[in-house]
Amino acid sequence: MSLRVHKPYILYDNNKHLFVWLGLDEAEAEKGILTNQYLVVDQGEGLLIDPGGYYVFERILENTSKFVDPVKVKALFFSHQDPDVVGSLNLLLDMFPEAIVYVSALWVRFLPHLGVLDTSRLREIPDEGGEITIGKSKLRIIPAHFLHSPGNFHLYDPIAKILFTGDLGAAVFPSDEWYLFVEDFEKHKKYMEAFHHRYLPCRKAIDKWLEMIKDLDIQVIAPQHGAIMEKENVAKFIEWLRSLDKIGLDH
Amino acid sequence: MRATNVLVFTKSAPDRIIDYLSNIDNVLPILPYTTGRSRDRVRLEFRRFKVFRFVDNYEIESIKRDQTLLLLFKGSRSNIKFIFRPIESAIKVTVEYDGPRGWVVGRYLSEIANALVYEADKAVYSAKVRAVKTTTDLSSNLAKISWVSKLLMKSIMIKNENRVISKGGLLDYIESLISEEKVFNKYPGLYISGDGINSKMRLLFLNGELKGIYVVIGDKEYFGNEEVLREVGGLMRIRVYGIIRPELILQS
Repeated sequence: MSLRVHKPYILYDNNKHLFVWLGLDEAEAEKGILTNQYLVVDQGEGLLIDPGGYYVFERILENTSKFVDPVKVKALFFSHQDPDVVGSLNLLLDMFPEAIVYVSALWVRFLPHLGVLDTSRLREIPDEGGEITIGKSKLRIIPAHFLHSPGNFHLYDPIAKILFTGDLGAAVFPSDEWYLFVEDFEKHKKYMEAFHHRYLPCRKAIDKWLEMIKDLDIQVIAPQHGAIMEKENVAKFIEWLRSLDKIGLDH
Repeated sequence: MRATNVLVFTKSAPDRIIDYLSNIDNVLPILPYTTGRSRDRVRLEFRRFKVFRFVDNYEIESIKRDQTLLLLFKGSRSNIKFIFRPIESAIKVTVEYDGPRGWVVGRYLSEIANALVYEADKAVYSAKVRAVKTTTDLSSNLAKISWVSKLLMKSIMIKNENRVISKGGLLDYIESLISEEKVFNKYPGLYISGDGINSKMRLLFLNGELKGIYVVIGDKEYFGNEEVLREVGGLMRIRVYGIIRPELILQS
């Protein structure tokens, strides 16, 4: 089943602040690891989260344009350095001419390999994280190092109460199935297990992250791969992470 | 039962659009409110006031008779019926919803009908434009994001700056940019793109010659028109890309 969903889905909207899932394209070679891209709009300004590679770019641009003028996209947030996150950097810088790129200080020095010799629009995120202001909202950059990348960040939207978790929460769907929202967590966790055991390096990284997010009011967990978890599934996901053992090197 | 009628005017011939929509593989990617897919079913999810929601999994059947198309969404708890009929340069869509929570689903029906016709119209129209342009037209290609994507995949960003450009001064600016950076010594091709307050331009140089010009001023697009570059000015955000092997782009 080749999958394309080219219509965005609004996850949060209070008339001034939007959080949007931007659709889906599946390449045969992805083998069920589909990528999610998200857009945050506040007071007419936009931020793109893990906008991805060339393969998905047309859809990202078209769907973003439905909610905000591309010139008003002020920030691109890269959770880490994987090609499905940063791949279309050259194109993003061209089509979103006002956007500043936020990426871990560990990875900025590698981005010229994507053909970007002018780095004036790249901003290093320090290890301790920080904030990105979009419109009148401030999104929090949460450190999530080694989940799975050594320079890795998540993004918390305090208005929508949505936590973007990058590869944490990634799920691999069977070839004939896909859903945007988790309904049956017991079934869904089976789709997440293999990825978390193989891609995360160790248990300690999860424990640090759990400590980091314990005071956040999270209504929705939005990962870069797999399905979105809402309400009671947020708590179930956190408990599931707490219970995971034999991760990475211990697997 | 909830029903609504929508009339959507189209750029392409209505019968072509109806043909396009009769193929379910064309309908699935452009269907709003999709939150799930399995081999033969699509899940649609509708929400209202953050609290109320309705979800159903539908099997879609397409029946086309003469010029009328029926798309029947058969769910486990509800059915949605879309009937598309051509009327001169428009398509009339009748949508009927039969199922629970009609007050949640009902408000989305006309939006879905509009979206289906709009997206199908766009696809049919661009296929027609592609067919008409049988020869490679670099200026037209610069208008296409898919083509610019391929171009930038094989390019290196060498400059990014904001510059106030006087009206009529764009070509002088570009000339100084090229000589200052000595780009043609390094790159056989150059892509320059710029955005102003009310204008946008994409230029393609190959071996020192300006080969592609795409300009948008307000809502109007210009292709290959060098004169119109004199109208582009004001504060511009400029990006310059060196193209390493232009022949790869020209082949695409």
